[in-house]
Amino acid sequence: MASVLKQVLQHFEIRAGAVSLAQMARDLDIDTATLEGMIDYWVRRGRLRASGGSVQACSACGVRSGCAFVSKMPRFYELVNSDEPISVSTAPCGQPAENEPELRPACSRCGPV
Amino acid sequence: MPTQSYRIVLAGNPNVGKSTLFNALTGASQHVGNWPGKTVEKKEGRIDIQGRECFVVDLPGTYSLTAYSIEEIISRDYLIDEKPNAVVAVVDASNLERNLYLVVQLLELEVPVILALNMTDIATKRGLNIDPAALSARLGGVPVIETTHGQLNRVEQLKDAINRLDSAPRPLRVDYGSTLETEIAALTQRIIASPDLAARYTPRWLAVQLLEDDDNLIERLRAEGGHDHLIDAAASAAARIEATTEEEAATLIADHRYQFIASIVRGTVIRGTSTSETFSDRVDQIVTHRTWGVPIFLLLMWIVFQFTANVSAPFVEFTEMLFEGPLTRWTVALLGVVGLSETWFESLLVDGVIAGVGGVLVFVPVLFALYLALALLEDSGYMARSAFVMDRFMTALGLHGKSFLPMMVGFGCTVPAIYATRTLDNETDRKITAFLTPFMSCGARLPVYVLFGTVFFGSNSGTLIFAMYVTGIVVALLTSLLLTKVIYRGRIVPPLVIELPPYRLPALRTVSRDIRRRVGSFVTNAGTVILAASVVLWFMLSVPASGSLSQFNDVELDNSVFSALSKGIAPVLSPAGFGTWEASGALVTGLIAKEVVIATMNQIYVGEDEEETLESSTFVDDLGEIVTGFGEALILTGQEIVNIVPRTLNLIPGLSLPDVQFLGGGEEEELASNSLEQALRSAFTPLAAVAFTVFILLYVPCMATVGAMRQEFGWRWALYQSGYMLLVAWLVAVIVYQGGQLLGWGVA
Repeated sequence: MASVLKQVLQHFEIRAGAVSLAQMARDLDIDTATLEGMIDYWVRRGRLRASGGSVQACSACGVRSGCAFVSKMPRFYELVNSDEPISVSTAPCGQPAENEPELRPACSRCGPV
Repeated sequence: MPTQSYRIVLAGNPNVGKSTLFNALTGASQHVGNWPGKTVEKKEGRIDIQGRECFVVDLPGTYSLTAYSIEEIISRDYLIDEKPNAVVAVVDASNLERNLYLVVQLLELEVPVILALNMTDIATKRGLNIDPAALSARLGGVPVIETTHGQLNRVEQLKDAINRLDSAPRPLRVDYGSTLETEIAALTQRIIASPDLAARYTPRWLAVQLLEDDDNLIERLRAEGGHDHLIDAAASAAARIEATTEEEAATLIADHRYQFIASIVRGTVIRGTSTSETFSDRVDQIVTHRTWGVPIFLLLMWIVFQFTANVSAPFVEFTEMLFEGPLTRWTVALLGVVGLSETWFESLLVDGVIAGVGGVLVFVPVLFALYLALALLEDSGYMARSAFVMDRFMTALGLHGKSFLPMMVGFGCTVPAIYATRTLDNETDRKITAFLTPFMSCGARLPVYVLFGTVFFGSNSGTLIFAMYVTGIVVALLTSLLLTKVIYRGRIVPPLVIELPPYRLPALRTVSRDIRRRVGSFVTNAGTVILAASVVLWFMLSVPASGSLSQFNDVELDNSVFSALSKGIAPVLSPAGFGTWEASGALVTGLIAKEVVIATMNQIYVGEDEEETLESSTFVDDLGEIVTGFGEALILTGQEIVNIVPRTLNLIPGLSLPDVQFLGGGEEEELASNSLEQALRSAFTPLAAVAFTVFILLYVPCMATVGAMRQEFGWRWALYQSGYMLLVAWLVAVIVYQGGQLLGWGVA
């Protein structure tokens, strides 16, 4: 019998389609908060990737978190596929992005920050 | 008793209120710098406890002491090297399981810990009641102090606990199971046998860390020298554990810690009935249902667009009256006072600026209604569900589930939507998603749908708008099918786990802030891009294409420079049913921004026809008209809000509930009686109007979009996208128009 922590990872590997954190906790018969902690562990170990959460859109333009059109995205977790090319930046809105040559100018539709 | 050299550290996960507590403890006596050789902020301060000066260090926020990040290395090294006298472990009570992982590691390190229980107010709201005494007992007697912001005397209590803290460590022993414990015991003995090592490190903790294959710690030991035998022994032990259990030792150790934490939480946290969670779970069973999820999403979107089109209509009418009546009259009167009456400047202001910018600003109520509806859905927690519901479709089409959210941003504006694709980690996913986002109908296109919907479909304009949004989504999904099945074949889309926030009543402050920002951006755009475009357009409409320049501002529009240029494109658009120079010209200026389409049409169709609004009227009459118009708009808005119910119920086959009328009938005819609307009715057939709105939906949204694509993916992708959109827009518009005619729908 695999450890619960490993079962969490296996759940990601065998799952087809999205599942909510609450549903996954029910499937594994553990508390949602415990599952969050276990997912954190795999994120720290680089096996899962977390993104989204609170107000987050992009790090692209000078307006950043002041952008009127950013959305409150839910937090996502997914398996890290080491074979795929990684995009330039995943830095959340309002935070400095690594490997960014420059800040993008604000789009024409942005209001004052 | 603390002494001069007494060192206190604050440790904890990120965002648990550690810095706030540090500030409350140290007040103004703090210093901010960097950790030596690192770019991580280091905060130090001083506090006085019972007349003694103590030094306080705020460690970086970390989730564990196993070195996976620079923050974890800094924290762990400080604890090992500096051996602080007290460690205040700040814990988010609303997220106890997650936070206790670090606490357990601190206790395994055998440092003197005080547990500062923060955010208990949020925990209570979530139905979690923590028993501090039981928690303390389960953690081997660690003092537990509630330090939630606003807690009476929280700093004093914490200082008192530090003052009374027993310097003797309270070792916590997590039972890792027989297989691991045997290896841990053997390694611990090896470490104890080396006095130098045992003096520097807690033996059992070091044994566990080595089994966890803590690379940074292993490097540290190698650098210290003479510990290779221990490192090799740990590696052999880890290999034996893996051979026996078929799992990594590190995973097993973490798993046992989580089981241990779960047992602590079970004995110390009483879970009350968390209303929001129970309610959320119940609602989610329906809203995110495999079968019902998508129809519910579509129904909600249908209601949003009914709300947008119909509820805003009375205020659109009111704003229109304001611009065409009093504002135009006051401008003309003011210009008359300064002697500029009936000059080209008056024409520029009235026919150019007011008709152009004003013609766009009348749609502010539409945008207000749209953003109100979207903000309500967003803040209630539904929007997060939409990504979940749509994931199945997205993955079936080879798209990443996360792609849906940049696409949702596209309903507001395409440019940030393209930038928002940066939240996708895979470059191919980014390219595909950015290619599709312009098909999501942005807020700037909405006024065009509302205008054409009102003119040609009356109270059913909401259905036209809904159809446009759905068409955009369908074209985007078909395009994605083309990209993922032809160009980017064989991609594997990983499944997602989505943390759905609990449903809640939308907060007035958040909703009003979102609306203010988004509507503000529309108004800002009207005052800058559209104003400039309107002025340029006015000049192009005032300069004759042939003949003398003396005809400036006295030229037939049909003979203007703008008309001459537009006529070059018109034949291409004839198969789509709108091959006039007016429509072609509006589409060309729409490349600047979609609102400019309205501004252009206002100048072309209405600019010449302002006389009827300039009938004489006194200032008092105007004020009366404004007050009466506002009152009527308010009543009619209420009527339209009420009418959403029967119109939604009428979707049920066989049901035909009548609309409620607060002010009697006849408003519809009144709503559709302004000059532009009359002009459009003569210039377009209903079928051509639908084809035109489809073209507006599908062709390049604006130059800023092209710029964003170029910045993100280069000129080639930007040009591919623009060319593809123009082609698709033309094809679909022609299919709609020609197909409709074949079916006999082309009658005006």
